[in-house]
Amino acid sequence: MTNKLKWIFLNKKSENSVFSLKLRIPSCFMMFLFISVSSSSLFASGGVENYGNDSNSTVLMQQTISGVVTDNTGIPLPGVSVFIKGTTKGTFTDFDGKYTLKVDAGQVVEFSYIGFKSQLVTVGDSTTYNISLKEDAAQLDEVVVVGFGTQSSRKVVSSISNTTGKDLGVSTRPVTNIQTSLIGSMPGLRGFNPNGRPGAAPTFRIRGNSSLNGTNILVIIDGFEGSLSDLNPQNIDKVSILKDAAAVAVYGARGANGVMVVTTKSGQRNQKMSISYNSNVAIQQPSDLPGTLSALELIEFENFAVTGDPTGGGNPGAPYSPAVRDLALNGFYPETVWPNELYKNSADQQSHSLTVQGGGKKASYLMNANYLTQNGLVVGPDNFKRIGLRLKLDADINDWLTVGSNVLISNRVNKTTPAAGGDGLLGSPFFPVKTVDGMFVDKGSPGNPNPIAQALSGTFYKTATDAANIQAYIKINPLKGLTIEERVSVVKTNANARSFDNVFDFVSLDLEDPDSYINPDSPNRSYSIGNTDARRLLLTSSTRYSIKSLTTVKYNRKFGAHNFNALLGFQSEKGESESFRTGRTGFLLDNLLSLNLGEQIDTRIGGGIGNTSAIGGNATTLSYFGRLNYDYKGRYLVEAVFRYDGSSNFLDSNQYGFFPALALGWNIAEEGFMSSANFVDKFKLTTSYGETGDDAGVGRRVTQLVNLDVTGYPIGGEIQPRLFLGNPASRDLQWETARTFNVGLDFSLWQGKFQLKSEYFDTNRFDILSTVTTPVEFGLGNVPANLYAVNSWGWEFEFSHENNIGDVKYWVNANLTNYDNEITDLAGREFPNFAEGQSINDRFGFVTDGFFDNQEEIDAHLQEDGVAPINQSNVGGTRIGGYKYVDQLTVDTNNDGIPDAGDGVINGDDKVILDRNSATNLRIGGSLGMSYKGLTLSTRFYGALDRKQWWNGANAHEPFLNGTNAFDYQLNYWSPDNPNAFFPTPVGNGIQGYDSNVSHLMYDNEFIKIQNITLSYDFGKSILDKLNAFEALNISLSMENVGTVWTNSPTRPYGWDPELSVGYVEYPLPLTTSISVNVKF
Amino acid sequence: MKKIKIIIYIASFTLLGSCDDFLDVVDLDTLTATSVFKTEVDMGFALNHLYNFLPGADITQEMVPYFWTDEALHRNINNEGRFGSDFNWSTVKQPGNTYVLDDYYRYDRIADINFFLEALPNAEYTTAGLKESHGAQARFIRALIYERMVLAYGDVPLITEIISADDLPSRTPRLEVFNFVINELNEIESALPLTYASEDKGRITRGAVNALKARAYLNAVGWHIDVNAMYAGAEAACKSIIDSGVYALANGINGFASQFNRSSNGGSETVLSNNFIPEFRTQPLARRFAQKGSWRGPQATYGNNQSRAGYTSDFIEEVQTINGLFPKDDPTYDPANPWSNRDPRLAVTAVLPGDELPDKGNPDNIYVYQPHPAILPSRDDITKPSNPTGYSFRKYIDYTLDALDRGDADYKIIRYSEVLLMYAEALAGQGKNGEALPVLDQVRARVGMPKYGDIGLPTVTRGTTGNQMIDAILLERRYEFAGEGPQRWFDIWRYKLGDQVIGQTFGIPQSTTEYGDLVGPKFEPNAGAYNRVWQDKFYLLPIAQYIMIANPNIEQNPGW
Repeated sequence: MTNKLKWIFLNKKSENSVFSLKLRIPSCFMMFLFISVSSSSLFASGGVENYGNDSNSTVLMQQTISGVVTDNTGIPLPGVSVFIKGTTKGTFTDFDGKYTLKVDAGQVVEFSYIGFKSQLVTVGDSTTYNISLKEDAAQLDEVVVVGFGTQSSRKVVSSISNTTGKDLGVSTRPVTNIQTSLIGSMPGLRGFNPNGRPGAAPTFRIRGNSSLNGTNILVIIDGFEGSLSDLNPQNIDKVSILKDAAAVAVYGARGANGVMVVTTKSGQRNQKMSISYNSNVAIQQPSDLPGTLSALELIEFENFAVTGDPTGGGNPGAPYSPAVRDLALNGFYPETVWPNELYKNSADQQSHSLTVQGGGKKASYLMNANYLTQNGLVVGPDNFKRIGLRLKLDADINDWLTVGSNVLISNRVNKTTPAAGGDGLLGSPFFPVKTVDGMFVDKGSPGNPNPIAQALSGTFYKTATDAANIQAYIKINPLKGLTIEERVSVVKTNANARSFDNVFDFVSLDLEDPDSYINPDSPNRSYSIGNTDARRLLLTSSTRYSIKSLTTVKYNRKFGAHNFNALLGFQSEKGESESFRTGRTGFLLDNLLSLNLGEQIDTRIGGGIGNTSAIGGNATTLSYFGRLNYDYKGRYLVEAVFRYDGSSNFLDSNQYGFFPALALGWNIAEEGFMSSANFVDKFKLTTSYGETGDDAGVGRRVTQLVNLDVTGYPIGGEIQPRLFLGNPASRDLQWETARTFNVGLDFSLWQGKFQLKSEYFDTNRFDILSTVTTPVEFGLGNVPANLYAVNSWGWEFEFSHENNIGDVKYWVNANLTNYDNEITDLAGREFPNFAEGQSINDRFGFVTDGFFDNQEEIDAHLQEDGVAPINQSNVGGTRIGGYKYVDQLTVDTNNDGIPDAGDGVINGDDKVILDRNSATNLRIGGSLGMSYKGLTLSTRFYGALDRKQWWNGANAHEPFLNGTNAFDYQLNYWSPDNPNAFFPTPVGNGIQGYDSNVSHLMYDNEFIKIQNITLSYDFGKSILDKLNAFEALNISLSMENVGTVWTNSPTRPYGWDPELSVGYVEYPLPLTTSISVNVKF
Repeated sequence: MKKIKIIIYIASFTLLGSCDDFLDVVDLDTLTATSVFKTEVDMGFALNHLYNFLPGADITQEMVPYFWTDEALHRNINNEGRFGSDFNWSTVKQPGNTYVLDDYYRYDRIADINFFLEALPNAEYTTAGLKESHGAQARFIRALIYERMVLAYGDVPLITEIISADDLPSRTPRLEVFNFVINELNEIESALPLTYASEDKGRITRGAVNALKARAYLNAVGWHIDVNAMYAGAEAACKSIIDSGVYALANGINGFASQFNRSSNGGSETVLSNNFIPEFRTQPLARRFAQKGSWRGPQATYGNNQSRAGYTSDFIEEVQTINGLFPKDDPTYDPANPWSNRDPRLAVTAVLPGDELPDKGNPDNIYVYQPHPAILPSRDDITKPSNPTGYSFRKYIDYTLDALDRGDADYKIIRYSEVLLMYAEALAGQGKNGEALPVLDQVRARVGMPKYGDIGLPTVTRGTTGNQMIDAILLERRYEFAGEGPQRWFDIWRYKLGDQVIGQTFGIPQSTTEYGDLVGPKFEPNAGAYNRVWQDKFYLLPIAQYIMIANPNIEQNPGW
């Protein structure tokens, strides 16, 4: 690679030079701007000081006017801008809508407020002007964030859903991250809570799965790709999700899976400086934990499984002797419920956020500092902390030049214990957590330690992540309507993980010998003394650095009724990552955790050598894009978009892809013939069609790589290096493309009282980047290729209604989304559960026809000849209380090409698709609320419909493998009295032997959950005046994760959260109750 | 505006080069295939990788077939449940699932070897003879894999070069694959030395080539049309090893016991081994087999649900007494004291009820291995997830290891005693009993067992081939190789003994006074929930369904 540095020096005297800058933009990829700003403050002169009411000039006829600004219902409006038209003199209304302003007679004062029509008042003799602002029909015409800019919602023709930090209630809810608050908030956004660990956040998808590889959405924060986890939720201003080709085409590379565009709050021009402080203090409580068996239930269940008799029937092979059963009957055992011991009853959480913001005529600023700490519910180390600082500045240097910066510094620390969740958590009810003499007790499964002992042993896994995200931009307006913007972002992320495994002593008790429970010298006790050799410290460090540049040219012109908006852009990205991991074992002390105090290298790392490192991620992209919007009188809308994208994941002529899209819209409500129906605010039809690309499906696999490592085979008593082929590569990989058609209907009646938005989309995804299964005999593994195609489609529906009845305002909104998909082309490489016509999430297995209830049913389960029994030996055999498998038609007896008979044996060819598209496709979300004067009560909900769960994992269906206790729902097995059981009659206390990929083990799992209930109160002026300290004060009471209000899951009565999986004691989602205070000074 | 003095320097520069190659990135820490496989150094490193394909010391690898024999069972390998030991081989697993049979269809390894062998002719070598030697070593490993595949599957596609990802090869008749194996071994024999200088110790020797050849011939006895030629081939191969004078049996029962710890690494009894060294390359057999009470080490956390291996009572009760008689035939056998006066190899092979072992908490303490639920302290209670039979494995468990998952004993694939017993068998198969007997007795004498030349051949009633001499040799192979590899699998398969020896399995006697009770009731693994029923289709493994789906030209073995 040659290093041709091209220097371009621009003389400030030559204003034309900005054009030379523009010309050079496409020719070279990375613009880096050094901006040095000398001496005097950008923000002081000509800015803040220029407005206000302490004018230092003396003018005749000057007078002071004052008054109250209210809305049309008489409610005072705070923050209304009251400015003398054509000047920068003005003020804002206070919290009670009051203002005072010095004006000259005859001057025109403009009252303006977002969502209301501006009003002009010519100052006459009066000194009091009480103004009632009318809601602007254009209120519905909110500003929507689109790719690289904003549009009025009236003119949006692509598929975009949006919400705001205010709508999400982030300042009153105890949400620790923005993702949690987004669940259910917008149609098309899919994500559920993964678990309740501190700091856990859902992963989102936009619309349904449409590809065969991972479909990570692109998250754009303030213009560049970013991480939602670093954000303080309270800094969120707006969130948009871009869904169709027209909306995402400007994002080209990786936009195919949808884009989430997040804008953080900024200071505004002509805004008085304000200081606001938000504090939220919360208590978390665990929600339900799954039920487990008591000692007697477990004894009888396991004895029954092995001997057919709950008492063991005198069989010496019975797992539990009659003596043990007697002890259980007499209540001797402690009946420990291990998850209940591990999770505390409550844990606290708090967040604080301080914002200073404001702006003058020429500059604006925002500074936010925030702090969050969340303790987890697990005894022992379990918490999450985040500290963040955001600084935003922008300033007009002159009337054609603006510069700005946006800096985020954040630090996240997560500390956890390996005991925090999982199947190792289950223990035997026979053993106490600790003996009376204070020893931790083996919970009965030697493979998994006592989780409470582990949590309290000093073992911890800690990850600290630092992120610095620095953005700078320069904006030039050389001509009216023309804006050229150059933006550069540098993101540096550093994650350091420190994991320490400590050891601890414990004792195993003999459940047959009560004396061993209390007598330290009992011969039936066995002590395990923690071996310091097993103490292990593991350090992992990874850093990631990326630099991105973005150049945009925007041009807006209006020629009569013709409006033009054009955008041209150029973007490049480059990144690098580096990581290493090292560990040692054998620490003498557990409180001095310096790596060099470990006596041995940790041979589990790096194939025995104790450390690994990697450098990578040096992928690059280079893109050109553009968008042209045209409308005639706002009635007929046209948007044409393109992106020309280059990716280093491909070679030669495949590097670049061209992705165009076209969108059309018709604002029917604007037509003359609709003028009689003036209750219709909005009636818009849109449609779009276009392509987007994805380069990330298989990563960079265009060169055949070879691995060299030093962990080879020993020759001559020494380890030798070895060299071996990496995964197969293909030089022909090219862009994966999604072609999307979208139609939308947008409807609003009576000043937005009723609004309805619905959309339908259909995406054809082709040249899917995927690894293709090769014959095993090829031997080098699966090969990356662009062979497959998938069609996905779905609809989205959003409804809202709001109204005032007297002083009571109420609102309701709901969204509903549904998706489906189908594999359309596999280039002939089909498998029984991966075939054209199937969905990409099908569940595949055997059909069962209930259980064999008696011998007659077994005798009647015959092959085609009516004589030989159907052979179930491959799938657990044939027995009363076992599954009756359906022998699918797989044999073609009359040679007509259609199988018409079974083959008499249940084997692989009897597996069929049991559940088409198992992904959760039908989702709902929404909110309800009402307010009366300062008091507001609101609630939010979300849910999943058309959803099933499959108990096919060993955790879910094997009662005796899960640890040393079973779940109570596993007692629901077949018996003559319980013919409609969940499970077959157990056989033995090992693996049950039947195939669990059966239709019977698939159960409904739909649910609706209340996500949040918030009651908040805005203190009115009269109270605040008495306090004389605040400009605004709001106190809210909020409950997050309120719980399931409806579900059809059969495991719900057994204590399982339908949002989480079954069979695995997952970290419970906490019910969080908070009180929050928002004050403004 | 004038009050504000702003000086703007805007400089734009390219960070790394011109636009043209911005997208052509180079990976920083990996090599590309075009830059290596070119010199003898590269090729040496690439050959080193192929050595990792030697049969592995783990229950999921070389040990699995042993659990298909009458001697042992293991009912939960990789959570595969009874697939481990009860012929409950599901063919319906999907790709990616762990699957106990995956280890016997190794075209991934064949492809790596073929790639190496295709690169070899074009690589630059400066050391004389090295290229030929490298090729011979790689071809040996390929022959080893094919030999095993022929035994396991019968016909398998014979692939000797890199094929296209679209090719759909069919199964090659096993005779052709077998002939390929023998030809390859014949061709490479002269390229490999009998022994290596110390810096090359551990490489494939001529002895290993001949030992593999002998195994291939003998395993073909089960199906080859010319059985005599098989015996003759094995005889010649074994004879050349014996005549080379390179190998010798280690002395006495201690020499036998040393084969399973590090003291025998590089020893004279090893013909072919997979090698280990402390810290850097270790094997987990000790952890896989160890008794609950003596687990040690960071990864010694497995063992729920009978995931230990256990010997069957069939095996334990057929281990001879020191008098060379089966316990049932020996009047001196004492059921109350059954472990003394037995073949000394029993104590090296098995952990038996009442044995004293180092305790896992503190290895200086002793714990008593006691699987009987009614004999306290019954920490290894057979009715609990522990050991399915109560007779536990011992070979390769080195209780002196700090961590049992870091075994450093070389895993012996072929020991010299196997060469001797193969030689005896090859002779006996051709009717040369007189020559076979002293070879067999050489193996017995090493551990102090009476020679059959003195006491007469035993009468084997269960699993007989009809040839008393061969029966005696197979019996000796059981005593010699129990719990260390798949030899018993070879024996049952090539002499088709399945219907005679496979059936219900039993563990320790229920008697609380006589550990060695031969006649009373016994515990049944899993309380009798499972049973083994032999079917002849087991002589060839099923081909996993995903293999046949990915290549429709691959047909299933009969009966599956």
